[in-house]
Order: sequence, then structure tokens, then C-alpha cells
Amino acid sequence: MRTVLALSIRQLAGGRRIWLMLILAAIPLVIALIFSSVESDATAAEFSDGLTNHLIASTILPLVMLVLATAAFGNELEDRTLSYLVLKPIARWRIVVPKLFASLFVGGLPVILSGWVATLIITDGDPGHAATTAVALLVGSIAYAALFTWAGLAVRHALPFGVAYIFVWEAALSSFLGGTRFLSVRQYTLAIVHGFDENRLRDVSVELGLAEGLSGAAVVAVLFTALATRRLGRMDIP
Amino acid sequence: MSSDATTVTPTIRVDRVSRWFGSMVAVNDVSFNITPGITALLGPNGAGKTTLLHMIAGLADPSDGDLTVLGEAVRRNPAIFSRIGVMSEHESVYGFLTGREFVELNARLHGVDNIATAVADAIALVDLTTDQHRRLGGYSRGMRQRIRLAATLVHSPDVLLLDEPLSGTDPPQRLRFMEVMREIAAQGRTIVISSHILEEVETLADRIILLTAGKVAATGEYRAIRQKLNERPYLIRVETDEPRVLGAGLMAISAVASVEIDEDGRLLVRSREVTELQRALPRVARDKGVRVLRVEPLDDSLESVFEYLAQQQ
Repeated sequence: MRTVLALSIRQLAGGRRIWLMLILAAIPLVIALIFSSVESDATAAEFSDGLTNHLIASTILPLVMLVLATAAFGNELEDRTLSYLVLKPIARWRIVVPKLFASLFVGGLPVILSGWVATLIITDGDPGHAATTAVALLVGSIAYAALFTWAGLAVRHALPFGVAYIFVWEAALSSFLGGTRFLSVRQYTLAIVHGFDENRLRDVSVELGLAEGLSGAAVVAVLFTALATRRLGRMDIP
Repeated sequence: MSSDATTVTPTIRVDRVSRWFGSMVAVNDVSFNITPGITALLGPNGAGKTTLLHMIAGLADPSDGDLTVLGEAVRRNPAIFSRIGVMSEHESVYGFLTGREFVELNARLHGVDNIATAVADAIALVDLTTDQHRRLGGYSRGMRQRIRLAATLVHSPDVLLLDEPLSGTDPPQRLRFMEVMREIAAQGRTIVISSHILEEVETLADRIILLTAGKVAATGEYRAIRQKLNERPYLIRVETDEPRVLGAGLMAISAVASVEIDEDGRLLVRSREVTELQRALPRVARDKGVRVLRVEPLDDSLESVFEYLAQQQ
């Protein structure tokens, strides 16, 4: 699996796209630095929660993971290099899982680090506050990686599909239809933040508990990894 | 094919295989066996060669029929790829890797034991040792084909499936490629090469499977296929001031199979003995006192050759 992982990291980390993703990932850091250098009416905890809820968990993390995870297979389908991997005596899950980890490493890690450092800056070095944010973002990025890696293989227009999921399903519908929150990676992420620290995200309507957030993310990660593996074994490879 | 199949166990069995995409039939009820040695899958573009090779390689499911390689189904059986090497028609490579890294990647994924030696040998086989540390993005088309061949051979597969492997290569590279293929075939391994150029495979392949419009038009040794081609009547168009007079004169010659006059008043002459016709045409024109304005062959294209063989089948 290391060979596929190393190849996939080099694929995803190459080109101009990665710089755009890194700039996106760095936005929380920049905002935190601005907050720490100017007067604000909001408390550190309020500002940190707002940043996590309204920017990192709702936009930056899903967008970065969407672009990179759909590209993990999407690029190889487009340039027809996928046959180099599938014509090898290795189980299909040993191709899918490294692809998923590659998008996690290249996309998720910078967002998690940025969120962690930004929270530290805003809260004057509160390690518990920052760790909670980092753990929640890690769990969320794993779920997004699995979901969007599958989409890159199985959905013809994976990017529009992902954008619709992020901005229609997670952002709009989840606000109005309580039931859909059980099927929202963003809600799992927020539930984990709130579950670890009840004082976090008090003003946000988080209806899922810690266990539900963790198990929901785990189900999404396992289910979509399995679906991607199945898809890779059954599809026609160009 | 069938004579081989009775004495040697087939490596590849294709049994009544069809593949369709919506209403388009790409491969239509095709059956054949392939034994060790070099077999060419020959046919014009769009004949179904790539679709068939894709199915043999396990990259696509047949809509109907069965395929086995080395006695096993290939689809959803990744373990078999340790014994199969596939070089697809697409020339795309990982441009950010060097030639050596690319061959090494394939060796690692195949679980080759002595990677350094296997990689060095494969690269040397395609004469790319001096360029092995250059990035693939900077390779020429021919070099990319050669490094892809090295990557296909690095695990010493028993079965090689090569889709248009000679495209983009220059004549010396072709000769080298043929040498390598003959060496591998001499070790008792099975090589399937697809091509749309008869001359490309004539000195290389032991056997030919000729595909047209998704069907097997002919199978057999190269000489037998060539013989069939030689029997094909050639179509020649003749412009003259007196088509009826010249046509009647030509019909009296044994080398001429048929004569027609097209809507523009030109003669369409079919002949199996073109050399004899070339000699007779000026003589008949002089004897009949007509002027020949233009003579041109009409169906020397490869497609017409394949069409003819398909009709014969």
C-alpha cells in the first residue's frame, strides 16, 4: 500500500491545484492572526466557535477534501493511467485506501493544522480547545475523504455533485430539515466538538451527541470506502 | 488456430464473446483460442480489437460469453496479473516520474523479488538505460512506448497483451521490438499484439486473427491470410473517350473479371491479375483506336482489404 500511497501523494501534491488548496487551508490562520492583533467585541471562545462552525467545518474542510479526494481517482480516469494500478496483483481495497489517505494527507492535514494553530492563537494557547477542534476536523476529513473518493470513481460529474452536497444538502437542507442532519458530515464534525466540550458551539444547533457524531462519521468512512472498492472492481477501466 | 488448439493447451480462450455499448455492437459473438507464441489481432480502426483486448485483460466485462486466461477468469481476479503483462493503447504515463521510477513502480506493485536487477534488465532490454533518470514528461512518443514496454515486461509475465505497441516508434526501434518479442516467444510465452497494419505484423506474428466490424473475418498463419489477400480482385478506374468500345475489348482478356461503366462514363475494371491487365490495357486501346485519359486504382485502402476478407468469410 505504501507504493500506491507515495504515488498518489505525488500526484495530488503536484500542479497548481495544491497551492490553491493550501491558500484555502491557511485562511483560518490569517483570520486568527487578525483577531489577535485587533480589538473585538466577541470573546475568544465565541470567535473560535464561529470560525470552526461558519468557515472551517462548513466550507474550507469540505471544499479542500472535495477537490483532492475526487481527483484521487478522477485524474487517473481522465488521463487513463488507472490501468497501471488495476492491472496488478493487488486487492482493490489496497488501491482505494491509499488513495483515501493520500487526499487526507495532502488536503486534510493542512486544514487540521491550520484549524489547530488558529484556535491556539485565538484562545491564547488553550490546548484543550485546540485539540478538540483538531480531533473533530480529523474525523470529518476522514469521512469526507471516503465520500468524495467514491464520488470520483462512481459519479460522472463528481465536483458538481460534491458542491451540491456541501452547499445544498449540508448547508441549506440541514438548516431546515432536522432529519437530514443524521446524514451530514458537517454535523458529525460539529457534534464531536460539542461532545468533547459542552461549552463549545453553544449557540449552534447541534442535535447529535458525541457517540452519534463519531459513529456517523465511521459509518460514512467505512461504507463509502467499501462502495469505492466495489466500484473499482466492477467498472470498465478506460 | 484450431490445429494448434488440438496439440497445445490454449493460454487464452475466447468463447462466444460479445460486447455492446447501448445499441452499438463492438464485438459480436467472437470465439478463438490463443496458444503460446506470437498472435496478431489485426483489423482496421473500430474493428473491436481494443475492446476485445480490454476484455481479455479484465479491464471490461463481456456483455455475453466467456473468457479465460491461463485457465482462469481474469475479471475480479487480481492475483492473475502476476502472470499477465498488459500494455494499453493509451500512451499516457505519470509525467512526474522518471523512466526508472515508473518501471520500479510497476515492479513493486507486481511484487517482484529482486527489484533492482529486474528494473535494470527491463530498461536495458528497451535501450533506455542512458535516459532512465529523465522525467517521463520529457520523453518522446517512441521513448514512452519503450519505457511502457519495459514496465510491462518487468515481472516476466507468461502472457503479454500489447495494444498497438509499435505506434510512435521509428524503424530501428521496431526492429529491436521484434527481436525482443521473438526472444520472449521463444521462451514459450504467449504474446498477443493488436495492430491495424498488416505489414507491421507480417514478419512477427506466427498467427493472425483478423477482425472486422466486431467479428472474426479470418484466422490462421500469416501466409494463408496473405494468400487470401492476393486472390482479391483489384478495382481499377479507367477514363477513356470510348468507354463501351474499350470495355468490350477488355472483357475479352482472361485477366479481367468484370467491367462496368459508372454514371460519369468511366470504366470500372475488376482484375485478379493486375500485372497482366497493365500490359493488356495499352494494347487493347491501340487495337480499338481509343484514347486512355487516366488510370487509377480504387480500393487499395486497408479497409477495403479487410472488407474483402470479411465477405469471403
